[in-house]
Amino acid sequence: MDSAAVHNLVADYLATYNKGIAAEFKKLAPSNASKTHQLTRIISSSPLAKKPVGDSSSDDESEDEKPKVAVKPLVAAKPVVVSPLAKSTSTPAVKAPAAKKPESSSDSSDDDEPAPKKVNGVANKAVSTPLGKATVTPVAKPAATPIKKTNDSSSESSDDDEPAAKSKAPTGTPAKQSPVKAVPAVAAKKPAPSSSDSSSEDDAPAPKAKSASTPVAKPAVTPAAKPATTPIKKKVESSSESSDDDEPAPKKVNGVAGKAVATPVGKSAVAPAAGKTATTSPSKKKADSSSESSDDDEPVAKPKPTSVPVKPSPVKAAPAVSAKKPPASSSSDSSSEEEATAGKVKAVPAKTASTPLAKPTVAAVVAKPAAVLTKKKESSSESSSDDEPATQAKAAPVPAKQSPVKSAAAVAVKKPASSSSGSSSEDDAPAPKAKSASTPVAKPAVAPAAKPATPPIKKKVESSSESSDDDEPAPEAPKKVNGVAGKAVATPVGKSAVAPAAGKTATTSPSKKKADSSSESSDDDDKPAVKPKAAVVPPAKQAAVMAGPAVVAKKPACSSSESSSEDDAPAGKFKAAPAKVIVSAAVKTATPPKAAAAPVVKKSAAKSSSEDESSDDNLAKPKLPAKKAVTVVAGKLIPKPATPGAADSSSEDSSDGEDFDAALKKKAAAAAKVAPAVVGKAAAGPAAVKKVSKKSSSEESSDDEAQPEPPAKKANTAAAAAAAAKPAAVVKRGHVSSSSDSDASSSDGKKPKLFSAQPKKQKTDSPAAVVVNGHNGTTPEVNGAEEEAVNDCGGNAAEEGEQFLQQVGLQKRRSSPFRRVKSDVVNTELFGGSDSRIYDNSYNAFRDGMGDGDWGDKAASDFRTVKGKNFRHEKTKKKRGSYKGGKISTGVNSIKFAD
Amino acid sequence: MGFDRPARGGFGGAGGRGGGFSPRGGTDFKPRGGGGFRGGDRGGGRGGFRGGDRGGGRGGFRGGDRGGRGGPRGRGAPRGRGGARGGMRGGKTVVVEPHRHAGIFVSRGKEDALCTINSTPGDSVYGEKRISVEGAEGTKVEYRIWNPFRSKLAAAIMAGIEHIWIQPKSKVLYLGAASGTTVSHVSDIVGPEGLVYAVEFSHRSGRDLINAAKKRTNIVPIIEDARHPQKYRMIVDMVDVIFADVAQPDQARIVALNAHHYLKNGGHVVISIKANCIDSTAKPEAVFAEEVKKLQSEKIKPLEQITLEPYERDHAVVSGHYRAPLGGKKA
Repeated sequence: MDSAAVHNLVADYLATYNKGIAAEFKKLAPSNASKTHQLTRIISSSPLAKKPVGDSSSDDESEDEKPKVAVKPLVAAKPVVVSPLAKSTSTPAVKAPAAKKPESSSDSSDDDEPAPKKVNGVANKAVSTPLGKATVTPVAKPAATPIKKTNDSSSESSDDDEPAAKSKAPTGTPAKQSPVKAVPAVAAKKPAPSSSDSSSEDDAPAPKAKSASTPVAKPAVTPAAKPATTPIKKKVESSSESSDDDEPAPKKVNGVAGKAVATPVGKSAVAPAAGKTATTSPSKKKADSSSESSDDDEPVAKPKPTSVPVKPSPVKAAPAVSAKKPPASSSSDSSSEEEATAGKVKAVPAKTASTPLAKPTVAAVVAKPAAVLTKKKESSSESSSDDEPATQAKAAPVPAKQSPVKSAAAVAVKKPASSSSGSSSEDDAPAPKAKSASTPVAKPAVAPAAKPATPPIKKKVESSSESSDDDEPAPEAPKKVNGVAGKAVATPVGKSAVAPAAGKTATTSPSKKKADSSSESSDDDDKPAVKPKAAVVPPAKQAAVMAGPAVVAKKPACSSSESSSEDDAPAGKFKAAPAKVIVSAAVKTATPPKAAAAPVVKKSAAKSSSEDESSDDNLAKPKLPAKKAVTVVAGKLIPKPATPGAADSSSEDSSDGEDFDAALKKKAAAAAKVAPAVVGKAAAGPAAVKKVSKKSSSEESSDDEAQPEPPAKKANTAAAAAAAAKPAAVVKRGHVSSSSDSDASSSDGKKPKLFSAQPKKQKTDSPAAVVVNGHNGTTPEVNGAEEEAVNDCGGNAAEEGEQFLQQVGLQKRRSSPFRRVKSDVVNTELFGGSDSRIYDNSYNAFRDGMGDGDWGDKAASDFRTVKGKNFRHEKTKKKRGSYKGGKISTGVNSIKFAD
Repeated sequence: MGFDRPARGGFGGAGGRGGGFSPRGGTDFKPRGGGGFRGGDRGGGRGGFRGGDRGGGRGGFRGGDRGGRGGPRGRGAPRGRGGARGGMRGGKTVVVEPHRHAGIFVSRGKEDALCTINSTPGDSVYGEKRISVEGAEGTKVEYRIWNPFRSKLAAAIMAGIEHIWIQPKSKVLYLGAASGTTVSHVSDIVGPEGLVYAVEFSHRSGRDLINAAKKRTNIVPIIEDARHPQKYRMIVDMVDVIFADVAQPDQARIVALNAHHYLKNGGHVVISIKANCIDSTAKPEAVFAEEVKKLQSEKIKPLEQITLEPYERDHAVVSGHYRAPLGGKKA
């Protein structure tokens, strides 16, 4: 395929929608030509998406196996591929989105898409509204730009992709990479393409996207999509994105971000991507997210490849998106994370270099950011707003951050990756991080994830952003502390973590509502099967629900992203904006709470995995305890708020609490307070988990450290960011401010606020609202799960505390009262210790020695349920001569004492 | 309840009701033991005003009253004394086969039942059912149903205790004889050549015990406090087995004391332990272990332990070998 031809096609296509954009495209085309050319070559060579995958699969495959990880890998891999596609297609894709979503398309489109798919009806609404608002305004500039943005983003993305490809190629095998990428892209595209196509188409043709993407799920769509993709710029873009996403996913999965990812991405990534794309495609959001992601990617890409940061990100975004279809939410989360990161970049500077990266990219991409911002404003309003705020408000800060980030470049990139990955999927990030090259990948993956999340739900984005922010913060914090946050995180999380993350993402995707959780879930799904996504959507909820709890629990452990995502999802919905601000701060703050709440959990599970389990367990635990725990937690949390970091944490908590509250309100207004507390706990738990995951090694200490430090930093940055930042800002700000004042108060205040805010948001931001609703709808489960988890966490802590108190009390009590038998411990010395029945005097313990239908069976069953007076009554009846017990065995069934 | 203090102290068993320990009498902690009016499950026997009828739970009013009648009337007046025919049992379809434990039988029929040969045919001690089976030579043998819900020894047998050490011709010191329900069956087991010293401190229960003993010559009722074995030293000879169902916190000590007085070397001890009477706050298993430990310290080597579930709650029966010969032979 000639790049020229492609460009022409794209230009033509764009022209149909917007001449201005077409013009832009043409202008841009030259620059991209070289890259495009390469990409086209690759693509042409490896049209067989799968083949590429296979090639790339060498690494990618392994990664693919690790589906989740794949995300990142995919990103890396995709980047390359994507870039080609992106380039050729990218524009188209952009156009397509633009056409449909022109304005919002970049950002909003992503959100919209996700939303639609997931929520479908809701999503559409949400999207539309959001887009309308956010996008429109922002877009305003883009207006003509929309396309440009898209184009830019696409171009950027393509660029990024190229860079990524380049970077990858350099690192790995150029040929492979490119092929791989191409392949991935293709593969991804297949799915992604299909999805992307569908998505892109969807965007334009909404129906197609939905029908094709949604129905077929990713696979079917993908193939067609691919072809289509190529033809269709939109597809290309979307595909690129999706591919990117796919790649990222793989990467993540592998842990070998860059290289491995690229290859891995191929299959697994692709599949995920496909799934994602499919999902994504449905959700134009992906495109947007992709664009966003692209932005993110760019930063990331820049660091590593330097060449085209954007591309990677796009790719990533796409991947994330694609992966996230389900993900949409998840992707949205990831995207949101990315955005958040990006936004964070602004606000986050402190938090993440990644953000900086994002910013840089953004700067480069600017158009995208802008678009994103605008978009964000509306749909992503939150995310975008975050970004904008970050960029704008932060402007000064951001620069600084950016510079740092940039300076950090690779580091930053890594961080972002890690952070982003962390946010989207900490696990992913970690894995990627592990590899230097991978780092970029990781980022991409993250970015994708973030993006996906964002796109689907702007709210989510925010929330996701928050989550991502949180994740990032955590990672960052660790990084800061450690120096290599990404790596550290990655390490802690380990592959498994990654996998979880992936799992989470997968789940997430399924349940857009859960966005965050869904993202996680989606990841999981992706891992298992890329297709899952399609199923995911429906199942998504279930999965989300199911996964949600588990995921949530796991997520926390695995990656803050999950917890954050979960929190975000809930919180995000309501708090969205707050989430971001909070996110950074919250993340940190969250951690503190977690640390506090977490201690117990942490104890049980030092590692994230352990935490996850524990969290799961916690979740599993009864709710009742939760309330207590909640109260307890609340108490704990409150204290924390007092701490400097507390403010942030409180904000987070509050946000979480709000979310929970919302859920609770829905459930029961009465529980409001408790719920908040619980939320806080839950949040704390996740945070703790996250922290733990991040720092696997030193959980508490690190957490503590991270918390204090991050909070402080975050507090500052966050405060600034919050102040300047996010649209949500109001809510967030309010939260922040309130949080700063007093966590408890903030949380309480926030709750109301959040609620109010939410309603407002919903009203104003239909998309957001929709999303929120969706989330809420789904959220109930998620929230419930979260709450449970939180409760569990809190409950555990509380329970532990209670138990401790009880024990103490009992000891005191027991010590004082007279007891003939001092110890409940059965002294086995005398009995030779051979017979366990020494420890159990129950009938069941002795029952084994008796034949079937023992004479006492009936009596045993009769007595089993009676106590006291009833027992006497039952026994009296058995004393009558008329009682019949059946057969009498004359065997020996006693405990023999050793000689 | 005052089980402890006075009891041990005074010689004369003074001390209010707590004063002496009456096996199974009024002081006991066993649920069923309750003294007085509670009319325990165990038949009117102990029940205060209710009258000592042996009519089992239902007895009271109708049965004759206290004391006097050891009579057969126990169980159901309506049925008259058709005792033999009691319930569905009886007769042809029932086959009685010996149990693993000598002197104990199991009636196999539609429903199985534990039983002992009635040493006083045609007479029910506490209203239990009786089964008459035609022996080989056309002789009729009457068995009395032994309900494990009424007797801890029966429960232990049902639960699968390996040795009860009570067998025909054994001399048994039975602490906590209460109304004599279980004692009557022990009496059946040891047979005419055996002997059962039934110690019960509660006069109320002792009345029924005495009445039961009137018809069973191998029962020696002793209304004394088992905590002071020297008080009946003039009556009791050396015994082969001590069975204790005293449900007292210091029952291990009581058993040991009596063992030291009357149990032959190499004799055996079978103790029913009610965890709640030792320490209601501790785990039953821990209580049992504690009691076993005490027995051990008293030269009683624990042999086996078995739960009385589901017949009794938190009960266990422990058997031991008193001053086991160095060789450790078992009786």
